[in-house]
Parts: sequence; structure tokens; C-alpha cells
Amino acid sequence: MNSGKDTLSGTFVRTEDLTEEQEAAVESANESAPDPYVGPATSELRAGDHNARYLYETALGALPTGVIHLGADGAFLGATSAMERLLGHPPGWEPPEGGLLELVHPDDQEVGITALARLAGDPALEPWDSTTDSVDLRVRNADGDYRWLEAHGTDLRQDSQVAGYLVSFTDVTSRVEATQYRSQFFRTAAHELRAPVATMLGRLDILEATLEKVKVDLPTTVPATVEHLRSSALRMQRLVGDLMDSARMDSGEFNLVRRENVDLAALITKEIADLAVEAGERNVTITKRVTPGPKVTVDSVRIGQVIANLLSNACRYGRNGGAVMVTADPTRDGWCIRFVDTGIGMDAETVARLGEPLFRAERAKEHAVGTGLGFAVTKGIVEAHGGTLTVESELDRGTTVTVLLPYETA
Amino acid sequence: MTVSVVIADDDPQIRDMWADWLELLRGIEVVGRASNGEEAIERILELRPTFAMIDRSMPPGDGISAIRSVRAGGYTGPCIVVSGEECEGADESDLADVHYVSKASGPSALATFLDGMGW
Repeated sequence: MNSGKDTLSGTFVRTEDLTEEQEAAVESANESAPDPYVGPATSELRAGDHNARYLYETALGALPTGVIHLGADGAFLGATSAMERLLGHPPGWEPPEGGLLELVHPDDQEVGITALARLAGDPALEPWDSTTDSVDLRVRNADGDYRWLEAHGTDLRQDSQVAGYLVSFTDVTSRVEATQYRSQFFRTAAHELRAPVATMLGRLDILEATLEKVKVDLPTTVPATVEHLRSSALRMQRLVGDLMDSARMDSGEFNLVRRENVDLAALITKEIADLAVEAGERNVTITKRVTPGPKVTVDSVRIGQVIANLLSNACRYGRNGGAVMVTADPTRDGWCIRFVDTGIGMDAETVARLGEPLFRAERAKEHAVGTGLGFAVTKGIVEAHGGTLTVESELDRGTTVTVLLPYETA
Repeated sequence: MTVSVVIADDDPQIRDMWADWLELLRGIEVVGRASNGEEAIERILELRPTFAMIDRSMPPGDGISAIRSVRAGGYTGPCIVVSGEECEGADESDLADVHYVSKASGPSALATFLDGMGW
């Protein structure tokens, strides 16, 4: 047995906690099994059955997650039987001559290299947090097919020195494919819905212009109906846009298509005016305070969408008769735009989950209609501009969303 | 001078909406309509409108190929590509006077273009 594998067993079995008798049992188990570490789990009772090492090996073998042991230099030292099963290899498998990276899909190798460098503590990169960080990679199995594996990693320390790494892999192909399917479905649905929505908006323009021309006294319900139809069509247009954007963000294809010099105050005024019907329906008063400042170079349609989505959220989750305040102030790092409402607010758990596609809190579902897409898209747009979006909220008190938008987008 | 247009779109609802919208709201004369790329090329080259509005995707053909053909046929008027998705049109950088209008923005983006042209 090579020393690397001993190192691994050492991490799984804290020998200092064992009695002499147990230590002897560990030794015996190590000698009797040809390679218990990579071998399949067995139900056969044998010497050392009750020792911790046997339990760990059995558990590791039975889990759907495979583990690879790397040395401090990144060299392959061993794999659990579950890892072999995951890749469809027989026991005793060794990675190819060129190393494990050869098994990773060429498009995902950079992701793998960066993750390993972070795990190894590359000072130029963000440190790897073994409790929360993971990466998804396509890895080639024995049949030559790529499977999506989610990789977690941790370092092994001996006398506070890094002695190696453990990298665990779980097959998440079905999850990744489901996300891809969702994106594709959103994309197709959005694409097909765009033409009828555009047709409705165009026809409403025509209807309005025609009504103006006939110059007869129409019941007030007629122009009011046209206005409500337009408001609904515009809302549908936003939802269709969110569907399309969500799909693009899921597949990493979201790009800003224009860069314009934009007067933020004018944009905020326009978006507030467009939301007048929705705010009126909920008796929400929107006020704004914009400090004069420089223009921003942004995708104006996209930033308009951000303002519209955040204003709409503030109105929808506000109280009947409540208030929404929009402020914009130039700061050293860019424009700081705040949307403050006095609405139903959110608990910390809900705030943490905002941005998950399709997530909606139970209270939100009771309060207003929505898809759970708008916030994720809004955040994605702000981040595509190099900005940040933060949420502070208190249940039953209200929510403040802060957007920090750099003056120039990289 | 009367501004004229040929509209090409495989979806009759949207094609007719653009036609009525342009005629009623902008006084633009719709001289021809087409439901696929081949018809679009034929009508544009025959009628030589002031500008053309062409759907990007008109199976079996596509709007961009149609524009290439009308340019090859000597048509120099502005061509508006109407697209279901937002696009920069980077792959069409060799084509002059091509403008993009996303279906996502409804008639408002078209209105902005027409205002810019003084139509």
C-alpha cells in the first residue's frame, strides 16, 4: 500500500483515539484486505469489522459520491470505489497518463484548474471555502460519455501543513439537464409570445389614435379600458422579457447590447410614469429625490428594466395606501439608487433565497401575482453592468433595495 | 415625398399590425407585403420602397439573406430587421444601412427609428 493511501486512512481514522486492541484490529484489517480503500464495500464480517476505518470505507463505498485523494503536489493518490463506479471503471482504476484533467471536458478544464488553484491557496485568487464552494464539470466516463459532476474539495492538514486534498464528486447530470431544459423551454415560450404581445401593443396604439380621430363623446370606460389593456400588455411584455433573460442568464449567454450616455433622473421619471396605473391600483404613492450628478454609460433599456422591476416589486409588495421612495445619489463608486418601501417585508431566509429562479416566498404568493423571475433578472442586469444589488428587509416593516451602478460599465 | 415600405414577416398578425400602424399613425404607404424571404426579395426589387421591414426569421429562409440579395440587386434603402431576440447584428457588419428593432419593445423602437429618420 502506498504512503498516500495511508495518509488518507489516517485522516479517516483518528488512531490516537483508539485502544491498543483497536489499533491491532486496524493493522489486521489493513493487512488482510488487499486494498480496502479502493475495494468494494463488503457485508462479510471479518477482523476489524467494528473499527472506524471499516465503517468509513463501507460508508464511502455506499455513498453516491466518489472521492479522489490528491497529494500536496496535486498528484493522484487514490479513489474510492464509489468514484470508480461513478466513472464506470473496475476496481483498481488509475487515471490516464496525462492526469485527471484529461478526463475533464475541454470547455470545463479552466474551471477545474481555477478551482484547484483556489483550493491550493493561490494568493491571486479568492480563497476556496470547502464548506460552501463547488464547481460543476463534465467528466468523461469509461464509455466515453461526459457526465456533469459537482466537485467539492478540502485540504488535508498534518501538523498544520497541507498534506493533500480530497475532492468529492457527485453526478448532477439530471439536475444540469433539467436546468438546460428549463432554459430552452423559457426561451421557446418567450420567443413565441413576443409576436402576439408586440401585436397587442401595436393594435392598442392604432385603437387609441382612431378613438382620438373620431372625436365623439365616448363613455369614460372606453379610454380607461384601453389604458388598462396597455398596462396589462406592458406587464406581459416585461414577463416575456424576464423569461428570455432568465434563460440567457442560465446558459451564460446574457449580454448587454448597447452602451449609451444616460440621464438617470430622466430614466427614473419615465419608469415612475409608466408604472402609474399599477401604483394607482394599489394606492401606492411613489416619490423620488435625485441629486444632480454625472450621466452614466449603460444599456438604457436594461437599466430602465431594473428600475421598472424594482419599482413594480415595491408597489406589489407594498401596503394599500403605502409609500415607495426612490432616491439616487452620485457616490465615489457610482450612482447609489435606493428603492424604499413600507410593505410586507421579508425574513432573512427569504432575502437569502432571492435570485433563485422561480423562488417566491409563501407570503409573496398570498400578496401578489408574480413569477419569481424578475428579481433574478434584475440582479443579473445590475451585475452585468459591474454593479451590485443588495437587499435589506424587515418583516412587516418594509424593504430597501440598493443598486450601486458604476459610472462606466467595463 | 411619400415614404413607402415593403413589410416581410411570416406571421400575418404581426405583418398586418405593422402595416396598419405605419399607415394610420405615420402616413407611410405600404406598397408590398411578403411572407417569406423569396417574396421579400421579389417585392423589394420590384417596388423599390423607401425602406424595408424584414423579419429576421422567416422559415425556410431568413431576413439577413434576403437583405444580402436585395443589396446585390441594387436596392440601397434602409432595411429594418425585426427580431424576436435582441441582437447586435455583429455577423452582418458587412451590410450597410441595416437597423434592428426587437419585437420585445413592440412598436416603440420602430417609432424611435422613424423619428430619427424624420418620417
